[in-house]
Amino acid sequence: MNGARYIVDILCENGVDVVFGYPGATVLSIYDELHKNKKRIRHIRTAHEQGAAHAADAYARASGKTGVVIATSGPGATNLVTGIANAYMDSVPMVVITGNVDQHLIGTDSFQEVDIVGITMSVTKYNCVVHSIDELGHSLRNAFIIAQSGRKGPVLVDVPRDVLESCLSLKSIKKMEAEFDYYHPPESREDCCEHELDRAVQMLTESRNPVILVGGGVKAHRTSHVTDDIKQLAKILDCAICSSLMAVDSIEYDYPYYAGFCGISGNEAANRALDEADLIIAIGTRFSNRMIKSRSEQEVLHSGYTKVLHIDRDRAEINKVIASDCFLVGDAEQILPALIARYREKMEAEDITSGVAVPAITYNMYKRDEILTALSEKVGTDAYIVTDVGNHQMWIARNYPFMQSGRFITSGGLGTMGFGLGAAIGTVTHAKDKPVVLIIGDGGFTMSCHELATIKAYNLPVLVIMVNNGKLGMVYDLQAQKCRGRFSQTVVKRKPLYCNLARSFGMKAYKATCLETFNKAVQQYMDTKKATFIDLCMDIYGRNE
Amino acid sequence: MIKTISILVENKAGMLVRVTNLFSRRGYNIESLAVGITEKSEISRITVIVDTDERILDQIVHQLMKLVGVIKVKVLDDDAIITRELVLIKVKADSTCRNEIIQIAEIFRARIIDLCPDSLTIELTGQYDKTNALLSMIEKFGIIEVARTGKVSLSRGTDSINT
Repeated sequence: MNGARYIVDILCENGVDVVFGYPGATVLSIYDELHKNKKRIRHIRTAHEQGAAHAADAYARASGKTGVVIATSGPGATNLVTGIANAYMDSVPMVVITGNVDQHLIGTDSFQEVDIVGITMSVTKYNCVVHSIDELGHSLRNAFIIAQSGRKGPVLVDVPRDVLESCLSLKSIKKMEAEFDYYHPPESREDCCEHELDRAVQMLTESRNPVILVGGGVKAHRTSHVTDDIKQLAKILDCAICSSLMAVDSIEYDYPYYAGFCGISGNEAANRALDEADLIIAIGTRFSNRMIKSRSEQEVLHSGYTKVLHIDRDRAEINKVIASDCFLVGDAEQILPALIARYREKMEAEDITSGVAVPAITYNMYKRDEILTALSEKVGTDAYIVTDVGNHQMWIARNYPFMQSGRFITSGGLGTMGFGLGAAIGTVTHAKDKPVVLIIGDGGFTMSCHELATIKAYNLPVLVIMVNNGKLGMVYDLQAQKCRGRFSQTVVKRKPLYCNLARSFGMKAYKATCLETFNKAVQQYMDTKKATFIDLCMDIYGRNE
Repeated sequence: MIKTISILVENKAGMLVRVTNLFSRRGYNIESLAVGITEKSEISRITVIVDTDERILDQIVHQLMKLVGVIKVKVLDDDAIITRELVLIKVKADSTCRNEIIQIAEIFRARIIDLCPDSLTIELTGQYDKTNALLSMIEKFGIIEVARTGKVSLSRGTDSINT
């Protein structure tokens, strides 16, 4: 057995049944083994490595499993970098396997050689070069453990060609398995929440106007325990729940205590709740500067009026952006029930009744959006909604009626334009028969439209809705505000014939200029479950709150 | 404030880069850095001196803890710490001033480890202030070059990073 075959075996051992990637000279042996092992692992070849990285990322977001992406050395590896950084910013578990040149060529600036470990060091949770075949098992197995443990993230394993092609005896495989040294996540060294619980409960009882702020971390588990507890806590405290962009879908849109997502582009109700609160109970969020709406809001947080109770499993997030008055480090799945139980004990001891069936005031100010309501009615609550980055993304986050956690696939931290098509490919690979809708701007679409080739090649039933305003909307808006209307490079003067482009990749394509034509096109997709493209030329941005 | 951080890491290729990369990526300034193996050959100790505030210090510690390969991170207590740095100073010295330099070196308990007709090399182990004081005393003779190891520290008494 050679190293390449051993990689395939370890992938299978880790429950991997689909990988994304692009072949090349240094990973020739891996692709040879993938060819021989087609029945065990499905491989999706994208049009560009970046698309493969986004696909693996979105596959992981949709499935909860570890996304796997393979690329060759040099440009193959560097093309992955944006995708890896995207996964890192949003804490998505991913294992990246790159080929590298033969070891005797490393460091000599040989053909298609880059130091991908050096390049990706600050955008991976861990990365390494496999220097000998005897290290391969250890490195790759631990990559899966590291990617999924604690706060999740991408891990890159760089394997030189000669290691991939060297032979392994059964004896050395046995030895590798026997001596495997499990990686223990450092987070487990510091689960110190127990003695802090009382202080947290004290803060809850003292607060007159608390708010719960949930972040992407609450979606890390595939169960609903955490969100159930969050809803319960909101009921007990009679307070609003706000979310970060990453967690928009973690609570049903119509839940009476849910005020939507907060931040620069967020829902007004959520921002107001956050502004007025005297206690922010932050759960699994890292206080992105996009979420802390304005400078003045930051100042409010530092003024001492608003107290912060921070719950996160990554100790380094505590006090990084916002100083907290109390923090609980660990898994919300364990912390929240303990916190709720202790709060109830205290309230009962002091003979105070807590908890209300209906909120005292209207927290949920959800505004129906005509187009998105129509879309959601047609595709159903089961559908995955993937977005690219820009105004359309904020439109979806504010107005799409999400009913299930984990159905919103979006690029949060890195804000990667061009994420959408790759992400839709990854999502549909997991979603099987459930609808997958990509909403993408014309800018992001143009940036990544080569991935239509992948949709065609694998006959992937994706509904692509391209919001076509002929602008790079988000930057255009910034220029309107800050550049006195000098719209530098943000207006598309001569538009391509997008529908024709989509048709040339075998998609059904429709131009929608009114709700009726839009509905018809969506219905076509639902009826046929074939790759469909909608060029949506409607003024959607005038409708926002 | 000046703080000394002791970091135990797996003695593997690339570990030092991971640690220093974290400092530069997050914009933490390193005043001094020294690295070497510990009593266990598979573990290295990195001693980093930083000039920072409480909040950033807390960040540095917990960001370091997240690195795969970092075993232990400890901020040493300033009141119970021994810190040393080794410095080699090559200074111009002909027969007219050689004796004066040697006398100065003796007062600082430094050793002369190399001598030639026109220069000599002083080895000094000590704390930062002492090194600076010696340097300022012999500056006038003409310093040819200086090499410093960076500071290494241990806590006093039986306490260790492992306790």
